Amino acid sequence: MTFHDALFLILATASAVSALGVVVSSSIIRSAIWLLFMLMGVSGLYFFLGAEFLGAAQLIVYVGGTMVLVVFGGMLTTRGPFDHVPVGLVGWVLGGGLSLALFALLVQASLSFVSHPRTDTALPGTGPLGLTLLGVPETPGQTAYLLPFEIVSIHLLVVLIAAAYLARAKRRPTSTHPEADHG
Amino acid sequence: MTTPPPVLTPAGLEPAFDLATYYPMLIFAAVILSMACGIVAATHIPFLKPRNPTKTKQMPYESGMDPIGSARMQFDVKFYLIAILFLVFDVELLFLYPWAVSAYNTTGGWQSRYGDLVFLEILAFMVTLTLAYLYAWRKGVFQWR
Amino acid sequence: MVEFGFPAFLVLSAFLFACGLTCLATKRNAIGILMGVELILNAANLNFVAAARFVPTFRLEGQVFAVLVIVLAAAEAAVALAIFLNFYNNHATVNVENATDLKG
Repeated sequence: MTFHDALFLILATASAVSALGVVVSSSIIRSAIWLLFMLMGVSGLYFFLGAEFLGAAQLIVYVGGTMVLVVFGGMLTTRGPFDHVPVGLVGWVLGGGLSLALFALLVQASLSFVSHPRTDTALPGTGPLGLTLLGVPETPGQTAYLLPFEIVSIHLLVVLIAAAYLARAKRRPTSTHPEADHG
Repeated sequence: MTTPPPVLTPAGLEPAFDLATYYPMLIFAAVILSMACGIVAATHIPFLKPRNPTKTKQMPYESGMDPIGSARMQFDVKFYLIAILFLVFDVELLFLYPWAVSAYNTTGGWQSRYGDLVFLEILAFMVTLTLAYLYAWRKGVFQWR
Repeated sequence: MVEFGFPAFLVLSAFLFACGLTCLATKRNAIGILMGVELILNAANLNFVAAARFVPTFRLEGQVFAVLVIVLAAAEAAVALAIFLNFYNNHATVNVENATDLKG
């Protein structure tokens, strides 16, 4: 076993165990912390694959931004330390069985790639990635992705407006938490 | 997984990024983890932890005020709005960084054909997000009431 | 000796996907369901980046799609949580079993 394989095993085990932790913890904040470690493990895997920019983006945007938002959501909607809904046995059996079946199917499909010819090239760095997003093809004739970039910028505008509007909307006077009404 | 061949960068031929060359970080993480786990084990496993409680030791803070109320209180929605604003500009950074890396990189000669266009695109992107910022401003997100 | 290549990444991503699906199916807290969606999106992203590394015609595309997925996941979390906050303000709970206002 090479050092690369050991590194992959460490990162993959950390991500997989944390993903299991997200599923089995009943407290929402604990799930969020497990998800945090899962995201860090996946970012480590991006670094392992040679995509440094994506690993850094995962750490900055996902771990530093989205997870903060999710944890805030948990804190804004949880009233006590034991405010969680128990999962019934039927739910576990049905959901777990469905996921296991799908997992088996996906593993079978993945293992058909074992005979795939091994090509192992370094990924293009941050510069070519940025130019592709801005509509400059890497080599003439190659696809560039300017339209998704512009759509994403409009999408971000819409999201900020929608989220600010929704979160600032008038509270219903029959709210059970009158002290939260002056927001 | 084999190590990929070197890549050509503006600074010359450089080895491709390889996480395995950062193995000191792994040693660092292992040392930190073993220290943390060791401290937790030494202070929480029965028969191993020292046990001599006094009244002063049981206080939350040995000096300073006792906490008022519970820390598990509900948070105000204002924090959430600030977090959304932060997230949007976090994402803006994610797109500005790859542009900044290649904006003044003259290899490939792309600037003569696309230079002005790319600059206008980035300007349009920033104007779009400024509109969102202005909306949030008018909506009173920055007023801490 | 087994060497870990493209199939190993695909199996790991399938596992993350299965975990996310279990989250979606079993959690009754709306924020728990959102976390399941994040797990699924990360599984897809891991597939994209692994494909960028191991499939030569996908070197740039895999990374571009992964960046877009990261951004869209952030946007999705922002809007979904705003909706959950409104739901919480009206119902004082985030249990999705109570979201029956539109049920005929």
